[in-house]
Amino acid sequence: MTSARPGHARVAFDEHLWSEDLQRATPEAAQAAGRARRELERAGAPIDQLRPCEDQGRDGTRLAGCLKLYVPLPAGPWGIVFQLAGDEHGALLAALAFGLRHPPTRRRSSVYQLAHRRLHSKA
Amino acid sequence: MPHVTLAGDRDGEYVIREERPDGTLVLAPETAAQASLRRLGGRAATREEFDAFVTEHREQLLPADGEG
Repeated sequence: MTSARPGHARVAFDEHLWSEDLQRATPEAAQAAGRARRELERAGAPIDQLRPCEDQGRDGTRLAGCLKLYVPLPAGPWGIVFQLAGDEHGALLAALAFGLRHPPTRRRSSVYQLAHRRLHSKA
Repeated sequence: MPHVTLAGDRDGEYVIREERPDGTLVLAPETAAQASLRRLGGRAATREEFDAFVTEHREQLLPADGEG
Protein backbone atom coordinates (compact mmCIF):
# COMPACT_ATOMS: atom_id res chain seq x y z
CA MET A 1 0.00 0.00 0.00
CA THR A 2 1.22 3.53 -0.70
CA SER A 3 0.87 7.07 0.32
CA ALA A 4 0.07 9.30 -2.62
CA ARG A 5 1.41 12.52 -4.08
CA PRO A 6 -0.96 15.42 -4.69
CA GLY A 7 -3.21 14.65 -7.63
CA HIS A 8 -2.79 10.94 -7.02
CA ALA A 9 -4.86 8.34 -5.19
CA ARG A 10 -3.54 5.64 -2.87
CA VAL A 11 -3.49 2.16 -4.32
CA ALA A 12 -3.25 -1.33 -2.87
CA PHE A 13 -2.53 -4.64 -4.56
CA ASP A 14 -3.71 -8.00 -3.26
CA GLU A 15 -0.93 -10.48 -3.99
CA HIS A 16 -3.31 -13.36 -4.64
CA LEU A 17 -5.25 -11.53 -7.37
CA TRP A 18 -2.13 -10.00 -8.86
CA SER A 19 -0.18 -13.25 -9.10
CA GLU A 20 -3.18 -15.02 -10.65
CA ASP A 21 -3.40 -12.34 -13.34
CA LEU A 22 0.33 -12.41 -14.04
CA GLN A 23 0.29 -16.19 -14.40
CA ARG A 24 -2.10 -15.68 -17.33
CA ALA A 25 -0.05 -12.86 -18.84
CA THR A 26 2.48 -12.96 -21.67
CA PRO A 27 6.04 -11.92 -20.77
CA GLU A 28 5.41 -8.55 -22.41
CA ALA A 29 2.20 -8.04 -20.41
CA ALA A 30 3.85 -9.12 -17.16
CA GLN A 31 6.68 -6.67 -17.73
CA ALA A 32 4.24 -3.82 -18.41
CA ALA A 33 2.20 -4.80 -15.36
CA GLY A 34 5.28 -4.86 -13.15
CA ARG A 35 6.42 -1.42 -14.31
CA ALA A 36 2.93 -0.01 -13.79
CA ARG A 37 2.62 -1.48 -10.32
CA ARG A 38 6.01 -0.14 -9.23
CA GLU A 39 5.09 3.35 -10.35
CA LEU A 40 1.63 3.15 -8.78
CA GLU A 41 3.04 1.98 -5.47
CA ARG A 42 5.69 4.68 -5.58
CA ALA A 43 3.47 7.64 -6.32
CA GLY A 44 -0.17 6.56 -6.30
CA ALA A 45 -2.57 6.50 -9.24
CA PRO A 46 -2.63 9.77 -11.22
CA ILE A 47 -6.20 10.96 -10.99
CA ASP A 48 -6.01 12.62 -14.39
CA GLN A 49 -5.43 9.19 -15.95
CA LEU A 50 -8.30 7.46 -14.15
CA ARG A 51 -11.65 6.78 -15.83
CA PRO A 52 -14.82 5.58 -14.11
CA CYS A 53 -15.91 2.14 -15.28
CA GLU A 54 -19.36 1.48 -16.69
CA ASP A 55 -22.16 0.59 -14.31
CA GLN A 56 -23.67 -1.41 -17.19
CA GLY A 57 -21.15 -2.15 -19.95
CA ARG A 58 -22.00 -3.04 -23.53
CA ASP A 59 -20.16 -6.31 -22.93
CA GLY A 60 -22.49 -7.23 -20.09
CA THR A 61 -20.07 -6.33 -17.32
CA ARG A 62 -21.26 -4.32 -14.34
CA LEU A 63 -18.44 -2.41 -12.71
CA ALA A 64 -20.19 0.14 -10.53
CA GLY A 65 -17.82 1.57 -7.94
CA CYS A 66 -14.76 0.91 -10.11
CA LEU A 67 -12.23 3.04 -11.95
CA LYS A 68 -9.55 2.03 -14.45
CA LEU A 69 -6.14 2.96 -15.80
CA TYR A 70 -4.68 1.86 -19.09
CA VAL A 71 -1.27 0.18 -19.11
CA PRO A 72 1.03 1.61 -20.14
CA LEU A 73 -0.34 5.10 -19.77
CA PRO A 74 -2.08 6.76 -21.46
CA ALA A 75 -3.74 4.24 -23.83
CA GLY A 76 -1.90 0.90 -23.71
CA PRO A 77 -3.49 -2.43 -24.62
CA TRP A 78 -3.87 -3.57 -21.02
CA GLY A 79 -5.76 -2.14 -18.10
CA ILE A 80 -6.01 -2.26 -14.36
CA VAL A 81 -9.51 -2.08 -12.89
CA PHE A 82 -9.63 -0.74 -9.34
CA GLN A 83 -12.43 -0.91 -6.83
CA LEU A 84 -12.83 2.25 -4.78
CA ALA A 85 -12.39 1.27 -1.16
CA GLY A 86 -11.65 2.82 2.18
CA ASP A 87 -9.52 2.04 5.17
CA GLU A 88 -8.47 3.84 8.34
CA HIS A 89 -6.44 6.30 6.26
CA GLY A 90 -9.20 7.23 3.84
CA ALA A 91 -10.01 6.47 0.22
CA LEU A 92 -8.04 3.75 -1.52
CA LEU A 93 -7.99 2.15 -4.97
CA ALA A 94 -7.85 -1.63 -4.56
CA ALA A 95 -6.54 -3.30 -7.72
CA LEU A 96 -9.19 -5.78 -8.79
CA ALA A 97 -7.88 -7.10 -12.10
CA PHE A 98 -5.13 -6.69 -14.69
CA GLY A 99 -5.44 -7.86 -18.26
CA LEU A 100 -6.08 -7.12 -21.90
CA ARG A 101 -8.67 -4.51 -22.73
CA HIS A 102 -9.52 -6.22 -26.05
CA PRO A 103 -8.50 -9.91 -26.12
CA PRO A 104 -7.92 -11.30 -29.63
CA THR A 105 -10.34 -14.17 -29.06
CA ARG A 106 -13.54 -14.59 -27.09
CA ARG A 107 -11.98 -17.51 -25.25
CA ARG A 108 -9.87 -15.05 -23.30
CA SER A 109 -11.50 -12.81 -20.74
CA SER A 110 -10.97 -9.09 -20.91
CA VAL A 111 -9.82 -7.21 -17.84
CA TYR A 112 -13.42 -6.01 -17.51
CA GLN A 113 -14.84 -9.54 -17.52
CA LEU A 114 -12.28 -10.65 -14.98
CA ALA A 115 -13.06 -7.69 -12.73
CA HIS A 116 -16.79 -8.30 -13.11
CA ARG A 117 -16.47 -11.94 -12.00
CA ARG A 118 -14.43 -11.00 -8.96
CA LEU A 119 -16.70 -8.13 -8.03
CA HIS A 120 -19.85 -10.26 -8.17
CA SER A 121 -18.51 -13.48 -6.63
CA LYS A 122 -19.73 -14.17 -3.12
CA ALA A 123 -17.10 -14.66 -0.44
CA MET B 1 -16.35 -23.44 -5.98
CA PRO B 2 -16.87 -24.08 -2.29
CA HIS B 3 -15.34 -21.51 -0.02
CA VAL B 4 -13.34 -22.42 3.09
CA THR B 5 -11.62 -20.38 5.79
CA LEU B 6 -8.41 -21.75 7.18
CA ALA B 7 -7.14 -21.10 10.67
CA GLY B 8 -3.94 -22.42 12.15
CA ASP B 9 -0.46 -22.56 10.70
CA ARG B 10 -1.96 -21.17 7.49
CA ASP B 11 -4.96 -18.89 7.60
CA GLY B 12 -7.13 -17.04 5.12
CA GLU B 13 -9.91 -17.54 2.64
CA TYR B 14 -9.63 -20.20 -0.02
CA VAL B 15 -11.76 -22.04 -2.53
CA ILE B 16 -11.72 -25.79 -3.11
CA ARG B 17 -10.45 -26.15 -6.65
CA GLU B 18 -10.39 -29.93 -6.64
CA GLU B 19 -11.54 -32.73 -4.35
CA ARG B 20 -9.75 -35.98 -5.06
CA PRO B 21 -11.13 -39.50 -4.46
CA ASP B 22 -8.79 -40.03 -1.52
CA GLY B 23 -10.19 -36.90 0.15
CA THR B 24 -7.27 -34.63 -0.68
CA LEU B 25 -8.35 -31.05 -1.30
CA VAL B 26 -6.60 -28.71 -3.68
CA LEU B 27 -7.09 -25.16 -2.50
CA ALA B 28 -6.57 -21.81 -4.16
CA PRO B 29 -6.80 -18.34 -2.64
CA GLU B 30 -10.25 -16.83 -2.79
CA THR B 31 -10.22 -14.10 -5.42
CA ALA B 32 -13.63 -12.54 -4.85
CA ALA B 33 -13.40 -8.80 -4.35
CA GLN B 34 -14.83 -8.95 -0.82
CA ALA B 35 -12.17 -11.43 0.29
CA SER B 36 -9.46 -9.37 -1.37
CA LEU B 37 -10.56 -6.24 0.47
CA ARG B 38 -10.57 -8.12 3.77
CA ARG B 39 -6.97 -9.16 3.13
CA LEU B 40 -6.09 -5.54 2.43
CA GLY B 41 -7.80 -4.37 5.61
CA GLY B 42 -10.29 -2.24 3.71
CA ARG B 43 -13.95 -2.14 2.80
CA ALA B 44 -15.78 -1.31 -0.40
CA ALA B 45 -16.81 2.31 -0.84
CA THR B 46 -20.55 2.91 -0.70
CA ARG B 47 -22.33 4.30 -3.74
CA GLU B 48 -22.46 7.66 -2.01
CA GLU B 49 -18.72 7.59 -1.31
CA PHE B 50 -17.98 6.68 -4.92
CA ASP B 51 -20.18 9.49 -6.23
CA ALA B 52 -18.48 11.90 -3.80
CA PHE B 53 -15.04 10.80 -5.05
CA VAL B 54 -16.05 11.34 -8.66
CA THR B 55 -17.59 14.71 -7.82
CA GLU B 56 -14.52 15.82 -5.87
CA HIS B 57 -12.21 14.93 -8.73
CA ARG B 58 -14.48 15.63 -11.68
CA GLU B 59 -12.16 18.31 -13.09
CA GLN B 60 -9.27 15.83 -13.26
CA LEU B 61 -10.86 12.47 -14.03
CA LEU B 62 -11.03 11.35 -17.62
CA PRO B 63 -14.56 10.63 -18.85
CA ALA B 64 -15.94 7.11 -19.05
CA ASP B 65 -15.29 5.77 -22.55
CA GLY B 66 -17.93 3.07 -22.91
CA GLU B 67 -15.37 0.32 -23.02
CA GLY B 68 -16.07 -1.30 -19.71
